[in-house]
Amino acid sequence: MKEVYKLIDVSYKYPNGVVALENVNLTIYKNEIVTILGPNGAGKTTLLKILDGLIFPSKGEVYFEGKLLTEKLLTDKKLMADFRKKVGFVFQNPDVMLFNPTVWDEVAYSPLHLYSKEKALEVTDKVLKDMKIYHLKDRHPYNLSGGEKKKVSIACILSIEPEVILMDEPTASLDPKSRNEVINLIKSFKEKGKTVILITHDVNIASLADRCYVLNKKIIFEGTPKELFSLDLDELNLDVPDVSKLFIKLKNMGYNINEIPLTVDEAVNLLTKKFKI
Amino acid sequence: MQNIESRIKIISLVILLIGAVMSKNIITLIIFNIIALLLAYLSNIPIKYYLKRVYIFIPIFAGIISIPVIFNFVTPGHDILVILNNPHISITYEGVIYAITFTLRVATCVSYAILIPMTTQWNKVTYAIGKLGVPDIVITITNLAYRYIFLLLNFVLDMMSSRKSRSIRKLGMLESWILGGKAIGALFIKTYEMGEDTYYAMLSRGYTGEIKYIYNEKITIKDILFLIFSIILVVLLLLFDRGIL
Repeated sequence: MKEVYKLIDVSYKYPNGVVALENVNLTIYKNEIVTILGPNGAGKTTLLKILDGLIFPSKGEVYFEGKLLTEKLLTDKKLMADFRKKVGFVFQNPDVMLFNPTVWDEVAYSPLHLYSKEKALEVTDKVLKDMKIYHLKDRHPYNLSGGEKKKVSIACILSIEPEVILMDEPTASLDPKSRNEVINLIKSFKEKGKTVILITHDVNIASLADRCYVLNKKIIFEGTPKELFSLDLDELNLDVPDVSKLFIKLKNMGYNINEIPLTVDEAVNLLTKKFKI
Repeated sequence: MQNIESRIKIISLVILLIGAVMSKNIITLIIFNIIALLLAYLSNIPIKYYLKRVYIFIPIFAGIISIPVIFNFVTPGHDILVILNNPHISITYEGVIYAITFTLRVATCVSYAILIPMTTQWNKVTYAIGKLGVPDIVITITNLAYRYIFLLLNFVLDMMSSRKSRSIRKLGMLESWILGGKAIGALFIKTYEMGEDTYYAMLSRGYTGEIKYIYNEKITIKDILFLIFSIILVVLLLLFDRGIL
């Protein structure tokens, strides 16, 4: 599998001396969904900013597609444009991403910086239609609902057709309908061959991942969601899907349960097999 | 007005505004005011809403500011109302005329200035002023201010509501000021953090320090005619104002 990111002994200190990350080692491969979980203040957002080349580690090395990411490298306009075309970052707070007077200007922002005007016009309209937000194109971002803001901020990233999508808490403070829309979008990214790196507290999103990391300044767990959710996660300050909790409880009560499901569908399959319905 | 090209519209309204500033005669100013009202009416702007926005705050404040001018010790002239004989304090005819002219001039200027955002999308206003030579940095700051002013205002209102919900008595003036100071501090920190994140979001999406936008509007004959009409109107009104016509 092709490596997209490789981090070697990455540490980061804030200007006030507080350590955000300590000797983080991780590898992200092409076309996988990776979730990064961890308590508040664990350095998750800082890690995403490092992956997006917005800040640089105090120590250690970050490789993107085999190239060392440095501040100097990203001062080169061409290399910077190439990198920005490949990596899109959806911030946790959509308000920081929506700084233009209308939704159309917002979605057109990146294409105008990275493509010709004709292509920028074309992709902007296409993305607005694909995301089913074309009717919002003349609206001021302030007048959008939380779900609409999130969809617009994702559309802003999709307008450059990035290969890698970084998402910080993509479902935070969304209603169930908007949350499901975002989950379906993440699934579609995988189908389109994109690499997705997610920070989340939402266990249902975490279960979509191929692999997950638990971060608390350092990497304290690396594995599949199944491996993660079969552990006792109270110590890690992480939540477990309710359906997994139920099966863990039944297992602890002495029932013969070999596998812990992560989703309702998996649970239905297991129960169907068990009871041979 | 919505059908006029944004650059032409801004230039024309600025010409009308300059004409109003240069007028000295109350009748000329009233005519300028009527033209602004007519433009608002023809642009399908609800007149009640327009009048509220134009005449309620700014002209009232301008009127209050100009109150001292009506007295004889600021503007000497013919007394129309004597308030005190010794020392002599009175309202003069020249003072009242000056105050009315000043207030009317402010109202006229506001009525033209307000027509720009009321008939043009904000992005078109900023792109048009960009095309007219206003530096990119000014446009970026204006756009960001327009975008975030509402958001931060909401934040302030939320802070005030939260304070109210946790207060069990009415606060004294000093206490309110102290808490107000703390709220300003919190707002400053929030603005600073948000500014930093917004800058990161801009960088992440390819920002390199220059503004790129698509300006789709084209100047047509109708726009040129509107500009010529505005210039002729202003010239004629100024000639009338100076007593030449």
